[in-house]
Amino acid sequence: MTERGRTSYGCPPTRIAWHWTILLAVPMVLLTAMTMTQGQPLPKELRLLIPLIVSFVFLNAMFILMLRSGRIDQFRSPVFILYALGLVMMFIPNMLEVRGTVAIGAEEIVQGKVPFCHMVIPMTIIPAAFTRTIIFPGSMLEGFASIGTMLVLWLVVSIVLGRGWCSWVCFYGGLDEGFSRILRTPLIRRISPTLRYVPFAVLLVIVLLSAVYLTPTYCEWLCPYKSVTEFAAVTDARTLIQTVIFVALFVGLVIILPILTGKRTQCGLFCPMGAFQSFTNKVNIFGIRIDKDKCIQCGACIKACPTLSLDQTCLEKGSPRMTCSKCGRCVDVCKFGAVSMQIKGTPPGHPNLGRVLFVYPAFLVMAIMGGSMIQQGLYRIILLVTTGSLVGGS
Amino acid sequence: MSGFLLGLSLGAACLASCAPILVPWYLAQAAGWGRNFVLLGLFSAGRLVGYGVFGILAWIIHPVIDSLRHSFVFGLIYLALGIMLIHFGRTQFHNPCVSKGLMRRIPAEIFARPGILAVIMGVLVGLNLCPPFLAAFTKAAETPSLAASVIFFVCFWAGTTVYLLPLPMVGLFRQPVAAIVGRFACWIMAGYFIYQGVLIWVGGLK
Ligand code: SF4
Ligand code: SF4
Repeated sequence: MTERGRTSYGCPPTRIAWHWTILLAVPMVLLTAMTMTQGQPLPKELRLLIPLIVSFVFLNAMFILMLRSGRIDQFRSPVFILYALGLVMMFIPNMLEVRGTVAIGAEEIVQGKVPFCHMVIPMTIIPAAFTRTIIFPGSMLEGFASIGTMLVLWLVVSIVLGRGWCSWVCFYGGLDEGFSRILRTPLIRRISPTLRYVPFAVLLVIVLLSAVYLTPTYCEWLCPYKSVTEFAAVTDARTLIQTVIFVALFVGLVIILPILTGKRTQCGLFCPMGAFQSFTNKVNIFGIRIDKDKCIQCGACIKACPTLSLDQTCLEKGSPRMTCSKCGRCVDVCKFGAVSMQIKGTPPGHPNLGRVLFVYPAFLVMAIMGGSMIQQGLYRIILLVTTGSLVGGS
Repeated sequence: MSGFLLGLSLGAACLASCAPILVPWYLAQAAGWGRNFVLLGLFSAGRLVGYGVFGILAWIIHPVIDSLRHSFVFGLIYLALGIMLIHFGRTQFHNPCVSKGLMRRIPAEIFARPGILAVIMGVLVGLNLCPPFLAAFTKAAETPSLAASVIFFVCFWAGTTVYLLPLPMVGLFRQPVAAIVGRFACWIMAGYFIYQGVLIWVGGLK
């Protein structure tokens, strides 16, 4: 981080010796190979083989560098951003192939053919406790994007990573993260700290409104990511207004504000799922620790934090706010080695132990989920270059 | 159930508008939180009476409301609700309930009897036309029978009361954070009501 507020990974953190790095990387290489090929022989068609090999090499290279260098965010961020871009590149052409349009019709909603996305988890489980009704019009058990699969995945990841979900697993988070990294020097540097509470207010309102009206309120009128996935077909004034809201929120919160502020504004200042995940940080065993003896209060980590989870009080307290998404940027930017990923309650002094124990499951989940998205996104690009169209192919 | 959930969804605004009465009063009592809970019980009983009265009123006017459904006027009610909530959120703790003005007219002797005062305050707050209450009123007016309308209001009362439960713990409760979240929630709810109003207009005037 320089004086002007841009991330720079300056200090040499605690490295891991090469032999340990290789040893630790072997299981990741095998697991990613297994999940990316799905146990099948390598495809013969070049258009399929190239994306598979490129994404496999890319993921494992990033992991090895992450282990070896002692840094987290520097090698997490590119994977996370490409994972989100891969989703968009994969999703839209896929919908065009299957339905001929990205818009979802009323009939499909009634039939429960909407893929379940984690954004609706707070709107699903909290009202379900009151009303004993699952309000989302998706399938309970059928397929990967079913309600059951997503809930199990969310539960396991939340126990292991807490709000790390938002920097390692969420397939949308990479979009505002990507835009937040475009400008070297952010144009807006002061953001009111009070705005950090907006996601909690959004959470409160959408959970309760969903319970009152038994509809996934957030999906119906607030989700910015509808703009790049699927939304109800515009057939009347209601769906037109909804679409205008989705696009306006996407352009504002995911593109313009992240570019101007250098922060993840959708994730840090709006997303109710992020607010919900913040509570899981309370029960999660991993956490960022700031060593008060090493810290010289330069404020570099405060400026670098993309979710506004650090302030002066945190430096004095020795830990970030509960909204920390465990991206690791503060660990990377501290030139004095004062910030580390730790297992809560353990004595300080072993920065690599907590880091490796956290990074391993976090990267594994990101690689399993993101690997296939990056691969399929690459495939679509190759398809576009070779055939002039994103749809079709095999 | 929908009355209870509506109360829960709008209770943050209730807290924002009614906490200015309860909190200073509790502080002035300088009583322990156990006693504060007893007073909250009496206060809530008073609110229940006020809400019951409105439950009956809502049922009486329901034929009128029914004919107005999906009309320009109904859209306007939602817009007014939204604008009121924005105003509540903006001025938050400095903005008094209607009942706060009435409170000033209560004879001084009553202040010596906290139990009676709690019930009176409860009734006055129950008769208060704050935005959450108006939202409940329009929803209750859609119910088919007198009993359903009163039950709706009783449930709404229960939902909003949940938000008042932490108030006796004034000293322990991190109120600034809750107040900020409540204020933002007011604005988001306002946006939702305005959105509903516009939808009714756009749809209704087609
Ligand atoms: S932990 Fe202290 S020394 Fe390190 S970047 Fe933050 S303020 Fe600077
Ligand atoms: S506190 Fe550190 S790890 Fe947490 S979100 Fe901020 S920069 Fe990332």
